Amino acid sequence: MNKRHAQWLSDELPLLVNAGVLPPETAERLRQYYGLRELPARRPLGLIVCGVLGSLLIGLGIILLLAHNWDFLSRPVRVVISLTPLVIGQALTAWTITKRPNSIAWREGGTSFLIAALGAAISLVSQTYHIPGDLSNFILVWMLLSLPLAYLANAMLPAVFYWIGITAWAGCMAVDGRVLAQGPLDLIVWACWPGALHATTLWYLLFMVLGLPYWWRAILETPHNVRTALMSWVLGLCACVGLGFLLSYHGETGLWTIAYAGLFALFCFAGEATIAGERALGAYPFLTVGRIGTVILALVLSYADVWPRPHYDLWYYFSRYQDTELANYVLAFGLAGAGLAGTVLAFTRQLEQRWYMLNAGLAVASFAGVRLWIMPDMPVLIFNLYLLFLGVILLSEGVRLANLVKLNGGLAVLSLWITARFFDTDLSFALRGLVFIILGAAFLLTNVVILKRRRAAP
Amino acid sequence: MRKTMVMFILLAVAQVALVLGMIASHEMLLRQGKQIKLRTAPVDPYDPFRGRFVTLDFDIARDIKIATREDNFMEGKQIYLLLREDDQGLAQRAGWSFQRPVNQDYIKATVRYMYNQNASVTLPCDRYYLDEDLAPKAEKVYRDYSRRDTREAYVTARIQDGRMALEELFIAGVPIKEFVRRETKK
Repeated sequence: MNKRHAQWLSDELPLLVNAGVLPPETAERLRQYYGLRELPARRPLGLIVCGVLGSLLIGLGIILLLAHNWDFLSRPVRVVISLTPLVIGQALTAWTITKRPNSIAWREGGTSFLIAALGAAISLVSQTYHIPGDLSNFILVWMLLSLPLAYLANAMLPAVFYWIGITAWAGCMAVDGRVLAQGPLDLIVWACWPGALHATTLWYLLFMVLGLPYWWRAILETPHNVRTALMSWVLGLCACVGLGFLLSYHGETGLWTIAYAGLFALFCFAGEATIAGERALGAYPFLTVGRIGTVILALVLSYADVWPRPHYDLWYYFSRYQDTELANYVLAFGLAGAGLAGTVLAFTRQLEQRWYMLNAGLAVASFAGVRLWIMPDMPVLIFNLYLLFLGVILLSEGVRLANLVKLNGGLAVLSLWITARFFDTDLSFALRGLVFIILGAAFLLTNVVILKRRRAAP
Repeated sequence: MRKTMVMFILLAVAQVALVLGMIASHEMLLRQGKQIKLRTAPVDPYDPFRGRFVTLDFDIARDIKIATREDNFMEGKQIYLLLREDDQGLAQRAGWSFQRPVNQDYIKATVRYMYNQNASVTLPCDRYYLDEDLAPKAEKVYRDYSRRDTREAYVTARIQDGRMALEELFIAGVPIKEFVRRETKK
């Protein structure tokens, strides 16, 4: 019998016996018939985690030791020392791919070690030869040479490190002031070295996309797996942080408002994805990031300071820099458009997340209104009302459905909104104290009522 | 399985090739390049990924006079610094150019910043890696030595086709590790 099938049967039999599906004697006869006795128990998750942690620590420890820069060693010796962990890591990964392709611990641990060893090798050679070269180039090369491991060894950690690394690269580029493209020809000539090209937005999107097929395959094949969920978390958070880096020079133009609103709406929409009626664990992180992001964004947009002043003209800025900023404008408007489309779909189909996605519509309308200087003071009012509305809707649905998460979520939104307004205006301490006490009592009371109701109705 | 292994081997070769390439190009530069001496002033920051180093601040990289209407001169632009040897054997700047020079020693540099009509550039090698205990001591020891009248630090480097590889950092004619050891013994 196929080893995988045998393992499965061996794991299933005790469960079937416990559930009363099979009498114990039949289970024993099955075991004897298929010769299952000699199979070891399936390795638990703990071992996998230990394997990964162990190899990561070893890899990092090696990096630190090498960084000590052993001056008393000659150059050739240091070169050999720098290459050794790399070669060991490669051999280990090759062995894992051929001899242990089914072992998650070996795949994840081995590739993690190889990635650490590669970083160490590049670092040590840079030190030995006093090679300059800024952090962004180092990270980029390191990441690009590590990503293929995810596909080749079917390991998730290389992909996770890759996305975090590429986002860090975008951060380095932003800090160096290199997010702006240099001209329309640069945008067309993609073959140049990214560092010289300065079109960080395009390169960032391209680099992130390179890792997506692996994540997508995981979503399709194992949507409820913890590893898929972890990848989704990393993707979601990297997208949030990365977008901030790319639009870091747009504080004045306000592009970030519609870009983030669109992104969070899309996340809520993606989070609605269900497979066979059940929400996939791999989609859940997007839902969480989308919802929390929406609330935080709405809170930020409810402050008057965030909206631009009359003297700042978006179109003038655009006409001066249209060559250099095209990619960022396309990104921001693209996200906003997609978010809007998703929102419209959500309302026509009465999806659960439509109230969160409404934020995108409000953000785009406000942005347009402010830019065209139609009722420029409205956005502040709009977002305050929206937060109140969202909180009340969540609260009422939570009470109606006896859903504690929704209920507490609604109360949290209301509390955050009230807190924000209280720091905005000058109300007396006594009044604020009173309102907080009422809010706290409301929290406790509603939770108690729902729990009592649940216990009363079995 | 076979296809996976073939692709993995290609990736492994690419990784090793990158590292070996870095090694080979710098080794060749150190063996075949022309040796020059550049006066410098070391400063000490920290790069968490690549160990402790001192940043070198070269004389020839500062106070470059540019004409008023030089629109082409902007941050990040590549220029070539022309070099000549003075009577003390140090390399001095003999001008700069946007075009690759012929029949003269030169180093490729990147414009770092500009103020009034002066510009500052970054040379290809701007850091010298040191043992992590030595780096702060080296900076302190150098600063004690670098009052206006006694600025005696220089590096030896190899140049070829505009590229540059550092060999050694000297303070008062003595290699830096040696120097720091002597000073801290006192």
